[in-house]
Amino acid sequence: MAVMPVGRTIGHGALAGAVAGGAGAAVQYWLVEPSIRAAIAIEDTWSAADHADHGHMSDVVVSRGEQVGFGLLTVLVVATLTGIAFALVRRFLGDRVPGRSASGSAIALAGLGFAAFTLAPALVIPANPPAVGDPATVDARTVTYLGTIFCAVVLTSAVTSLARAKRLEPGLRVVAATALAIAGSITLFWVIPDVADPIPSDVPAQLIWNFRVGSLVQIGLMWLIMGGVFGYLSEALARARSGVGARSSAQFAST
Amino acid sequence: MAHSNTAVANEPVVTTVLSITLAAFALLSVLFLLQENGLLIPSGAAHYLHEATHDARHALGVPCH
Repeated sequence: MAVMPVGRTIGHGALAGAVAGGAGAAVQYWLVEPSIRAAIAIEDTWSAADHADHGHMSDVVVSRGEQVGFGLLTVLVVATLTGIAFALVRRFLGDRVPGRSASGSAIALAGLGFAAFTLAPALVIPANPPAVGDPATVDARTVTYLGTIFCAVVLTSAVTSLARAKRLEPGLRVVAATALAIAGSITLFWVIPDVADPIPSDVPAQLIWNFRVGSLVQIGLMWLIMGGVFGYLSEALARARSGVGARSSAQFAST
Repeated sequence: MAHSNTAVANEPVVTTVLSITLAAFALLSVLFLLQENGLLIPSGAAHYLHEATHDARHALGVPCH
C-alpha cells in the first residue's frame, strides 16, 4: 500500500481542525461569552468603586467587541494548528493507536487527547472567567497547567500501551492498565500542588459553574468533531484507494 | 498491506523528523498565541495579542492574569 503523502495528512488535519474550530467558536459565542460578559461587568463595578486609574476601562487596547471577534478567530486558528499536530501524531503513531478502523482510531486518539490535554488540567486547575485570577500567581498557574498536561500525556500513553501490550495475556492487560490508570491519577492529584486562585466572594458560584461547564463543552466538542472529521477523511481516502484501479488512479490524477 | 494504519512503517526518516518538528511547531504556536507575554515579540505587540486573544484564552481554560 502506498504511503499517504505528508501534505495530505497535514491538509486533512487542518481541515478537521478548522471544522472543529468553527463549531467551537459557535459554542463559545452562545455558551461561554455570556459568562465572560457577566464577569467583566463585575470587574467593572470594582474599578468604578475605587475610581480606578488602572484596569479594563482606562488602558483599552482592544475594545470588547474586538475581543469577542478576535477570540472566536483565535479559537479557529488554535483548532486548525491543533488539527495539524493531531494528524501528524496520528500518522506517527500508526497502529499503536487503539481502534480497528481509520475512523475508530482517530476518535480514540481524540478521546485520549481530551483526557490528557483538557480533562486533566480542568480537574487540577479549572478554567476561570475574568474577575478571577491574581496576576501574582499567573506564572505558577501556567507552569502547573503545562506540567499537568505533560504528566497526563505520559500517563495516558503508558496506560494505552500497557492495555495493548501483546506480550501480556488479555485479562492481565486489562487489570494492569486499569491499576496503572488509577494509581497514576491518584499520584498526580496528590503530587501536583494546588495553585488555583480563590474565587472572590462577590463572584456568584453559578457564574463560575456555568463558565466551567460551557468551557468543557466547547473544548470537548472540538476534540470530538476534530477526531470525527479526520476519521471520516481518512476513511474516505482509504475507500477511494481500495476501489477499482481506474477509479483510484483517477483519484490520484485529480489531486 | 491490508491495513492503512501501518502507513508510517516504511516512511523515510526525514519525513518522520519533519512531521515531529512540524507537530511540535504547531503546538508551540498555540502556546505562543495564548500565552505570549513579551518573550518573543516587543511587549507592546504582546500586550495587543494578549488582549485580542483574551476571550479564547479564558474559554479554552488557559490560565490568565
